[in-house]
Amino acid sequence: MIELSLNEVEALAAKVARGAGFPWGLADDIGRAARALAMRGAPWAEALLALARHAGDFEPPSPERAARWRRGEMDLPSDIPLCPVRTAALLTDTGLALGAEPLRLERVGLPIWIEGLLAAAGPAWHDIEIRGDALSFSAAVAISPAAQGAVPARVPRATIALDLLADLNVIAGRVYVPESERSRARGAGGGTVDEE
Amino acid sequence: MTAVALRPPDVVMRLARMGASYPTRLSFLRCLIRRAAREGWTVRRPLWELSDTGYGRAVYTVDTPARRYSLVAFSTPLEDSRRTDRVIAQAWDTSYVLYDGVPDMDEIARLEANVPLQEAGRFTARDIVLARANKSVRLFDAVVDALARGGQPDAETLRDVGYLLRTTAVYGNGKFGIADRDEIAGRPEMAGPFQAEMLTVWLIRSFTIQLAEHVAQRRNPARAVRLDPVLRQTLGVGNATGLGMAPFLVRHPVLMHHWFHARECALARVRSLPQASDPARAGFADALESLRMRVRHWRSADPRQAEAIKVVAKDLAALADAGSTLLDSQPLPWDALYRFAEERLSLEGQEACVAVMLEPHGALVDDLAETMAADENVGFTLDGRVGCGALKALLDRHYAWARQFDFRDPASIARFWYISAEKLEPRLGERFEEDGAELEQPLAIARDAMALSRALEHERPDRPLAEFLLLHPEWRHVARRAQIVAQYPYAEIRDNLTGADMRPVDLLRSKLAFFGARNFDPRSDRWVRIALFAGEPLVEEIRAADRPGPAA
Repeated sequence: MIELSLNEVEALAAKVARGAGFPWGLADDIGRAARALAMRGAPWAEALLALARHAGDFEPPSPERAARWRRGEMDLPSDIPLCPVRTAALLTDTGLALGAEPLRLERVGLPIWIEGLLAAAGPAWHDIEIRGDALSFSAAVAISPAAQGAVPARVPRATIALDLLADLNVIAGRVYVPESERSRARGAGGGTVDEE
Repeated sequence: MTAVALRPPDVVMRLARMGASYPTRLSFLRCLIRRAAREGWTVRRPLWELSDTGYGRAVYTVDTPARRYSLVAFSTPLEDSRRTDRVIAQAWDTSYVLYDGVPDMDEIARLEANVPLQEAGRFTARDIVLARANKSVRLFDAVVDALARGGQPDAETLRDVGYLLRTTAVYGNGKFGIADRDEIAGRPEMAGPFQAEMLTVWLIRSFTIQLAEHVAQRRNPARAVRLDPVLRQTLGVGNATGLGMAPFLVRHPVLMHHWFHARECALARVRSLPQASDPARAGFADALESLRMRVRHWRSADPRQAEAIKVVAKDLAALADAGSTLLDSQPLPWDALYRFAEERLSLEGQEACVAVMLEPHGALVDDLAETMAADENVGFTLDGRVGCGALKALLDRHYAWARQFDFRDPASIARFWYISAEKLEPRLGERFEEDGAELEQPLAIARDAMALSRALEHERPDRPLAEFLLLHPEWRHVARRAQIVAQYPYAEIRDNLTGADMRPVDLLRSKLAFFGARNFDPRSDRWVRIALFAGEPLVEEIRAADRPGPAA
């Protein structure tokens, strides 16, 4: 195991997300979400690897389905699990007002990311209940307004197994550009040995 | 009192002006020095274990009212052929950690096993800043030789170079496992931007001087002398900064806004003063004379900077000639002075004038230092309830400046920013000559803002942004940024960061001036040498130093 700072978690997660094909804006959200998960002592690294490997297996909510949520109607799941990142981004973007009844989403992939993105968006407005495993590929999720005064646990440092870190670094490495002789020569301004 | 408006972002946030930045009394190292003096910080040296040739370890401990911090320094032999300022280096003359508290021997042993390795080491939450510095070999040796003989080194040479060692990296905020900024941001002495980094460099400065004195003393115990106090104050810490620092300004728009906004508020306050008091006039004249002295000793091998130095020397002479008369103007003497600079002087001259004008007005502007930190979570949450039409209007209003660039012209997108696989550092590539543009970092802000504006033309104006982003997540970062910029006008560099003629050193100089850097010496269009703390009080003398009082 190795200890990471929360900033390292955020930077790594954003690169992994980008390396896995998420656009920049969502990659930034995923970085913040991973940090929020790490701060709560949640298994952010396992969740990140699963997200990167299965990003293509999920679908975003359709506008029609999102409209049902807004109207407080029962969710109508499709065959493909919901992408937790796209779903949570939509929820935070619309500042979805929660009533007395929780918002229930069916068949959500890796629902831990719903928790992560909502936590990163602000401490105030939600409690999340996941029926089943937070790392499963299809689980039901219920989102309710946060209990007043509830303060989540805060872990100041993250830990990660070395093999998991190595796997994540491979995916993060897709965002880097290999050097050529030419770029090496001028990329950072030319090689200079101190002459003084 | 007529309030003079802030200089608008279209004037302030241009690369050419940013590349002419001067440090001011709101620069971060000045803020640190003021706090240390006000609070009476003291420095001890509980450990000093260095060989006759200056290799070994040392600890400096700073007592602040609430907490202690320690600089743990290691000095190791380095072959000349391995001494490079670039981030690709793997060994350094000296390496450092700013430690939270006072390290015991176990902690010092842990640090000794990791700190000299820098990026290849691992660190803990007790380690706040990680840094390294190389000797300016010729000058270091010359100083040691002179002191060992019982004399003083040549003052002119010392002033021209300005430092004995230069840092090649100063890392904060969680890099390589060190403490996250969140861990220290709530402490008053660390709340301002880069205060931990500045404290580290301030302590390194004292170490570099005492290291030279130590080697001289061991070489010739009978005759060696200490460095003359006046020369000691002349010396700062050098720094070599390359592209790695440039994207920071773009990636932290809210923070950027707070830095520039504070400085512009300070300038507007001074310009709005109804009179120029005698003490303020005297303070202005002193600051101007002191800057002219520095400019006389400012050396740069870069032809463009060398020319700019010549011009700013003339500008400052013009300011000195006209200053007294201008400050007799009514009703706004300082505004008259600034407008003179704006009309008659080069960009360097104008920004130098700003720095000098602020100098005698500490009582009026120093409180603005408290506004330079920022909670960067603010603005991260997108408002997706607004319509596409509203976002387009916002883009067209706040990015009107971007329309001056024609992004169909290859010269406008000649460059691309990327992360190098070899060093994991930001680099700048040539889009039409090198591979990798598909992995471009999102720094082509002007281009992307214009492109999003065009994409929104095809949307129903009342369509909620959240719905648009659900179908087009590739615009998410641009939409988020536009909403931030609408709230924080100084958040955006209003220039094209991918143009063929873009000079990264302009970005570097702007950021380094906010740190408090002087003696800018560009070594190419993409890296620069500077000095920090040159001419400022030494950290161990701050308690005895004159407490800065209200100058105006």
